[in-house]
Amino acid sequence: MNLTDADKRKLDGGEGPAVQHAMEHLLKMGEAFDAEEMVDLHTVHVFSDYRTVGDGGVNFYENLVDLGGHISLPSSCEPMSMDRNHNDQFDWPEGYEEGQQKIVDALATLGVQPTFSCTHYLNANVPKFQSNMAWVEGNATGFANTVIGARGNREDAVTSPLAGIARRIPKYGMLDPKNRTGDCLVEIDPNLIERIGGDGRRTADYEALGAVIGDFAYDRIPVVTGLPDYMQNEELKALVTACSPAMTTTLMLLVGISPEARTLEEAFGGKVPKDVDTIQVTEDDLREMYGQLEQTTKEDVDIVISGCPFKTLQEVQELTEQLGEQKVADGVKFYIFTDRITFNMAKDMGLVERIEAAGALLTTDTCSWCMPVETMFGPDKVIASDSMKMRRLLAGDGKPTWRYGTLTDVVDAAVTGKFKPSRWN
Amino acid sequence: MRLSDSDKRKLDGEEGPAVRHAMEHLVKMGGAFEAEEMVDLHSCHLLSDYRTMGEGGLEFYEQLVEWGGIMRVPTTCDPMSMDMKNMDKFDWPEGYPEKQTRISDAFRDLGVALTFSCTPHLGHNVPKFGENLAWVEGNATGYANSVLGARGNREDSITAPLAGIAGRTPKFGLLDPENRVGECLSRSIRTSWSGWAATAVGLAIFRHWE
Amino acid sequence: MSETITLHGHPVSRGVGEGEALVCDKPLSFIAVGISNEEGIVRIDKHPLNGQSIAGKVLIYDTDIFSTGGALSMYTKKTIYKTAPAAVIWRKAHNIGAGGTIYAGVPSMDQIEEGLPWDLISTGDWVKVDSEQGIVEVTKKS
Repeated sequence: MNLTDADKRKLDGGEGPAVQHAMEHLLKMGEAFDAEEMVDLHTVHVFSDYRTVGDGGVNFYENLVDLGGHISLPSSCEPMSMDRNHNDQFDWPEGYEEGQQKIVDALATLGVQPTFSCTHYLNANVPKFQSNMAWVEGNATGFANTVIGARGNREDAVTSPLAGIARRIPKYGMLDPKNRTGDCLVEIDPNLIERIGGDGRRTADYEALGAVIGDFAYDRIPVVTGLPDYMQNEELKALVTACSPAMTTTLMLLVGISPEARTLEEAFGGKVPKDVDTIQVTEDDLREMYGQLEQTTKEDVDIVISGCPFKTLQEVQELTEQLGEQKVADGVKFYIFTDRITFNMAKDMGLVERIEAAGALLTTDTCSWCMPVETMFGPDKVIASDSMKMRRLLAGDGKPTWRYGTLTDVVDAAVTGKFKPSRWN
Repeated sequence: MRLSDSDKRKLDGEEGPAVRHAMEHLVKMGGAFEAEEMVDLHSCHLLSDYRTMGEGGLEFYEQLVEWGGIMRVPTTCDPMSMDMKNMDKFDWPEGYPEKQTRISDAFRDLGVALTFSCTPHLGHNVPKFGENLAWVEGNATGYANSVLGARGNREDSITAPLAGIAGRTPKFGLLDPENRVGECLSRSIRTSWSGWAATAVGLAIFRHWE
Repeated sequence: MSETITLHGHPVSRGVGEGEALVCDKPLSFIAVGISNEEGIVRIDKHPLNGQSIAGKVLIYDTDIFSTGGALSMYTKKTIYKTAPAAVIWRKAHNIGAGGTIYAGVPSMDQIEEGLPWDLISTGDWVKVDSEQGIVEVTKKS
């Protein structure tokens, strides 16, 4: 890899041991992916939750602090295994609070903004067209690459803070403009677009559509045609959530929406390849995906979850309207996940009061992903959710069973205790 | 101005008095700037502070509420004449908190997210490339147009909420892609400037007083 | 005597490691929720390796899926619970797997020249990964 004089100084320890340690790792990463050079980094988003990173993650961050590491770039961090506003509402396992607090302290010392959010790109760490990012979190890198035209891989939890400390990153994958063109084509049927989304349905519909696209694309970059001329941030957030539970890449080129896909030709780098692998997506595909995301036909639900990725203020407003004057059924827990920035605004707007009066809980800083659901919820529980990502990531032996539906479906399930899927029947 | 059938229905009052009122104003605005048509609106940002809008502004918003107005697009709002968390630190003139609270109440009824921020583009109302805005606030429209490639004039504080209620706005000024090209050249801009600095430059179409 | 074959590939995390092969042709994630850090056992809905332990194995799968946190989950498996694999071979490396194996010091390789790794290596084979040299030695299970 070609290193600049400044890179070499960093590698030789000229900027201290933390930067040196970071550069050593970045050099190995660059070589593993045959990067030719490093580029300046502009924004960082790092991992936080103790459930995932464990004591190894604590040691990793504390070591960076001991080495004198500091992240001076605009930064943010993922949700964590703690809700600082509602600690009494959750039964975290022994040792979690201590472990999580060590990570919180280390991140603070490193200079990371304590956002504890997976949707920071909409409220705290907004990247720009062609910004170079070292971000963890699939929905965030998906949105930033796809909608904003910023550049970054779905960076791993080790490389991201190290790149932040070094302020450099190997130019590989999505950081290299020449890799940012389509590999396959997804054509959305106009009849589907006519029926997709709408009040109370947009999140689940677009997450399911994203999963169809993502399963097809897998490790390729999909070019997508036929989407509506305009899509709201929340709809796009739902669509790109597939970048992690479905596809391993993190850029969808949405023709007419993505700044790098103003035309079909531009999305393919100038010319559409003759025999490009293509699928047409119809209503049947969405119906099938909804079916695939259901793990059971049991109607009785114990837990209802909404807000993965975290809810925006507009989505909290929408959910509050859906709840209206209804009350959550006895014996059912209704968790709605968002970050502290959005929670505080929702509180000032009187939304939190209305949600709590209904018997639901708007959490801060955390989500079920950051919890050991095996013990905190239990394997015998049935969860209804409008989150395709939670459903895909948190299912398996020893874990709860999942049902998938629209926001309206899951709000109804919270209120009645019964899940009755209404969509695409 | 060419109006679509749905524009005409709105103008004829089929979607209620607030939408009709809004469309009447928007048609006049479009006429004044020789817009050929209206475009769909995607995002709104409104003026909030009582100090600026005074009694007239308050009545304007309350009238919109009375007519059943509701914002059809994601809408945020500018800073206001009150710090709810530090009321004792400021000596607001007589009547300010009451009037400001009435504005907030009207916003709540209109469906405005109570962000009270002049940097909505960096939190809670992040616009996208090619999106149509009806935003007040120069630094925000500057950033949204210059850095994000969204499209919107530095809309006035009457047209912005009315466009939000109608869900439409006349295609004039920076809403029309034809007008989004340079007119003068500044050679001094350093490429390494951050977006925040670029905000200050805006679209670099500063005019001197003369 | 068992058959031994030598394969060639592209080094990702440099080092030498050996163990019994655990093979699938699907994507996988080291994330704690999918493979518990404490036990190293795969618990992912409908995954072909569901219920299997990865600890000390030479793990072969397509590429990384799911959370980017997989890298630090891998580091915790290696440094705290000793449940990390001895080495990893992918069809194609994802940066999540690369970052985790590089930092944790678990040898890893991708892009085997002779073909797809799951066509050449079976679960139960003894595999030595030398990613310093870019060589994989496979002793087929007799």
